[in-house]
Amino acid sequence: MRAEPLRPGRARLWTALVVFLITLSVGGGASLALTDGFRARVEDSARRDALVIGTSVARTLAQQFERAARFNVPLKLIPGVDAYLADTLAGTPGITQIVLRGPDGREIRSAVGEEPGTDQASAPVTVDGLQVASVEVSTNPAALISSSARFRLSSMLAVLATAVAFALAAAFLAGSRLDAEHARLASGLARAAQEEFEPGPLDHRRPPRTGSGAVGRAYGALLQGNRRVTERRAALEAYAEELLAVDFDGALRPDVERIRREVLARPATADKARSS
Amino acid sequence: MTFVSRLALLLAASVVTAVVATAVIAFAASERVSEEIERARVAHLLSAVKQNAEASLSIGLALDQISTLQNRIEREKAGDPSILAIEVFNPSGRAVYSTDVSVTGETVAADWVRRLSAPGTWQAVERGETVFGSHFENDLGVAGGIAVTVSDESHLNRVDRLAVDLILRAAPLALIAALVAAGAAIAFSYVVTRPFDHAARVLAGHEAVGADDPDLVRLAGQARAGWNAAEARIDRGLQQLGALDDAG
Repeated sequence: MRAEPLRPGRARLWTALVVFLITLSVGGGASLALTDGFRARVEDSARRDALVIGTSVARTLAQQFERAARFNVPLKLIPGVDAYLADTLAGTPGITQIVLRGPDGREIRSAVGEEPGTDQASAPVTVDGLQVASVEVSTNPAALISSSARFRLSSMLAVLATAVAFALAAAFLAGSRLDAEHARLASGLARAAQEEFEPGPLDHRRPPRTGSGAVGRAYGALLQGNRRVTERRAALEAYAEELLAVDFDGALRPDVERIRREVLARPATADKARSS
Repeated sequence: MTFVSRLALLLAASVVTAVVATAVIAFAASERVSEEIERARVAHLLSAVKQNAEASLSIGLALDQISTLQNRIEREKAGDPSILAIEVFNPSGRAVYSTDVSVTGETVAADWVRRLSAPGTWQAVERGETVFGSHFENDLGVAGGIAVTVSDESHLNRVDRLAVDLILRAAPLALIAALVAAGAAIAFSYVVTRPFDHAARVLAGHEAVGADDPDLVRLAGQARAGWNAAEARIDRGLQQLGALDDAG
């Protein structure tokens, strides 16, 4: 019976695929958790800066409205305020909303950005010590660090590149070796099936450590079985030699030689020897 | 090294590399963000002072007549502890307003005057401090400059704090990810090396339970049969030799 060739490269392919997917899911998940947590920390550290900018904007606007109020111009009637507030909002990083409120707290004019505000700075508009309005500026540190949004994408690309690199490394450093061990074991089993119990050319390479893992256990079982048969053959040989040593007239030699041939012959030749 | 330990090591190294790469990218981004924040804060300040100066110049005031500028720069410095000094100077390089009163009337750095013709905001590093500057104009052209000196200490402190925070976040995440990856490697190794176990069972004379790799199990069965046949012939040969011995 001849051994059929086994499909090569299966372990290499599966190992590469598993390393790629696990790196992508576990490494990617950890990276996402890291980037999200760190982004929140960076935003938190930028809060004070956003608030400094917001306070400065509120003060500047309050000064400008004070000039108009001093000339008794009603703040509601000043032309172009909405456009000016919108321009200030768009041109100043970190602020998300500017509201001009009357002395009763009601909104007179405003400019609102896309992001919600997290902190607020306020400056009063005073004329002769009397508050006639106030400027409220909402800030959000996320608006300050929007330019770094791509760092999440960069991290994901790095994870992808790592997954590809380690998948290739695993394919050659682990998967290929398992395929090689598979081929060696298959070859050893096929030779044992053909009753070749002596170590073959492939077995002269460094054998896997028996007892450590499934590969070692399979090799161990194969080597043990081969050794047992070889030792029993050696015992029979020794017995045959013992008989021949005392066969002074040579009468036993033909029968001893026939028995030796029958025992040592491979299956096909053994049948032939027995029939002849 | 066995397959499982090799794979576990590779997988753990892979996920740790992914986390470390992310941490490095995040740190580089946080440094960039820190610089952006610094620049945004100062850019707004420069723009506000510039607007104030140009509005006053446009109604015919001379630079040294804009008394609101002194209040303005003092208020801005008081509101931001990282600002070390703000100076407003004329085109000949003499400080007209300064948050440090002793500097008023003194000559500012020649480099600042040279940069007056530069468009937009300029930036220079001087003795561990960063100076951001800009110019303001009247109808005749450049009417003076503004320089804001910012301490690098707050920027460095922020970067240091973020680096420590990043390490404290990345280290446990990398450890957990490595353990999960090693666990996955053990599970995968069990599945992928199961045919070897089946072969070992067959060689030991047991029945194969399931067959992930029928070829290997069939070969193991044939090897076992080979041993049995060889041992049967050895037994027969020993009996025959025994019979010859007895007959002799």
